[in-house]
Amino acid sequence: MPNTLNQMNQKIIEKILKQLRISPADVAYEKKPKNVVIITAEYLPRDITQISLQCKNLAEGLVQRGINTHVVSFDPWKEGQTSNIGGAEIHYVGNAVKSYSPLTWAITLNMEIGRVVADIYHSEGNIDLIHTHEWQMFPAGITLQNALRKPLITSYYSLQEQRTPGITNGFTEAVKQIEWRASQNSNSIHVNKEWMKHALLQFYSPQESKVNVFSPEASTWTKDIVRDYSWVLKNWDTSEHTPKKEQKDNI
Amino acid sequence: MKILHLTSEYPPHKVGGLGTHVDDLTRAQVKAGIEPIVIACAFSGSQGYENVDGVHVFRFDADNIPAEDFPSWALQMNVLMQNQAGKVIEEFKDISLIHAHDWLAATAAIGLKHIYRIPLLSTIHSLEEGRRGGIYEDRQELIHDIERKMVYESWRVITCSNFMKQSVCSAFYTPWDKIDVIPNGVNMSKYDFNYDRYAEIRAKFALPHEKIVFFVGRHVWEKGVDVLVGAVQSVLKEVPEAKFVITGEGYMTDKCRDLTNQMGLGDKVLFTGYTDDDTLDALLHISDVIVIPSRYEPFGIVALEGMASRTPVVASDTGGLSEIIQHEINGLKVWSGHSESLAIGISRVLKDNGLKENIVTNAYSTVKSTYNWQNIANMTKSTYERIIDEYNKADWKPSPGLVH
Repeated sequence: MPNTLNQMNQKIIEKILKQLRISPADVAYEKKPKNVVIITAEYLPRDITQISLQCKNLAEGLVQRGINTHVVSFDPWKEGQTSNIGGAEIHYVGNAVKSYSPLTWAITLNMEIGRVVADIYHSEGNIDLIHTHEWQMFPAGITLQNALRKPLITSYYSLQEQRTPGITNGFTEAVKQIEWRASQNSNSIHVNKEWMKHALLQFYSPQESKVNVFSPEASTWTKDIVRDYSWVLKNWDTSEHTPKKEQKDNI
Repeated sequence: MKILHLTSEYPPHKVGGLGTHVDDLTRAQVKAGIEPIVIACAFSGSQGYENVDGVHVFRFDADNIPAEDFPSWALQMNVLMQNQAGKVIEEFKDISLIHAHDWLAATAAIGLKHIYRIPLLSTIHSLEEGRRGGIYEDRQELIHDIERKMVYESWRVITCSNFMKQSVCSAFYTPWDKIDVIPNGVNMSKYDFNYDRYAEIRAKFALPHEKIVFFVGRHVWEKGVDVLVGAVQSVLKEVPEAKFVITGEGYMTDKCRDLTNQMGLGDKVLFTGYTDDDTLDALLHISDVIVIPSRYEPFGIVALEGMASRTPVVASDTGGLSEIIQHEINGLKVWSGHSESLAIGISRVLKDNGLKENIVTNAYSTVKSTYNWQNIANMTKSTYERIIDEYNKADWKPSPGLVH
């Protein structure tokens, strides 16, 4: 229902703009980001799940739209290196800490992720927004969101409750808390499928209006994501998508 | 000069000596013209802001963090600590330096250092390698790696003894000149009170004619409580009126208690479990000798507490204890991990009043002149000033857009 309303509103807005002889694209991208940082546990050539390919498509799609795109990704073989792939700057990080579980790996890696993103920020002078993919990268995203005061976009590919249904232990509960915290603090949440949106709403109850379904199969996929980035930037600090004070206090 | 301290412990939450150290140090820093800000864990709903004699204390809720084990709890706690500290950095602005205490605050501190480009100073109170006598399993390896990373990322490092400096340098190939040795201290006023108040407490632990041999600490391998139990019979042969009071708990408690019962010494060795601070302070005063049989001791704060309480100290010749105690001058040193040597040391002090008086007088004067917190705060301030001076000359600075 909200999507239908949005489409109707969009048509009305486009009609008004046409009469005023203003290009809809000019308005939609009024706050188009200039610098985006994508944080992901994997990026091609390191390819374990669909996340790697999706991040690559997104990064290169953003570059094609004139957005300066940095990708920060884990790759122990390329630690400390930077590559330019398809116009995007890829920064590879390693984890100097020998961890023994996915959770300890993720959190210790976040220390390095934070360092590299901060270095990008300090050398570029600015970052417009941070887009993190999957729970392993969410703690770094939240920290950077708060410290750099930049909007945070999170992409969920699956949820812990789906990966280990009915299993409750220290690890699963910790991951669920990370997923929950990110869902509350994100300025926009991206999922690939409608059912993922429902699952996310069911388990973590984020504001429904900030959960967006962007199918990578859609021809307008990158365009829709950039439009969402623009929307987030336009409403940053003022919109209902900005974490409410009490949510921020609970971080 | 605003200094951001990151610590897992701060009173009222205390596990080891870390909380007390940060508490005493920061109070003394206020008197030294520093504005200390402490970020610490809170449990049982004690989170929030508190001004403790000029020290800004922000406690964040570290209760109910789901985790698979202690290291993963600690790492997640650091994520929360980092976010709490971020807010504080924005609120206070111009923080000169981050001072992190031990690996339990490492990942938060390293992240903050890079994000805000504020120099990081670490105090390494002890090392995992030393606490367990080596690195044997995955969890230890993780902690060991975090300690290494912390030392590597720090602008400078403080250790409490030359022994710890040597340990850090050898464990992580750290340059010798990156580490400043600044000892721990004791709050002298805490030990300056009327003995009569504690007469009735003494009666709870020993008969009037008995001489109390006092141990305080965790009952773990590195503290050597088993070494003390091994010395009991030999001491009793020399001094039959000796009474051993062993406070604290740990994974070796049952083993040690069983051993004393098997030897038929149950009435001569009292395991009290954890005691409250008042009882502990009283025991430091009313005891006839304080025993520190540690195998590994980065510093040995109990030695200073005993010396400040004017009670003779018999300690292992190891770690920081070796540096605090001058044999037969302000205490007695014995072989580390050696029950017979310990028994000889204890017996000597209990039997030789002249030696005892001499040791006590010298020990009190050592603590007063060297290990007072104002001295320590001033030494720490010098390290801060050195780092800030070097930082000001360096290119490594935050982007102008960043709030701090």
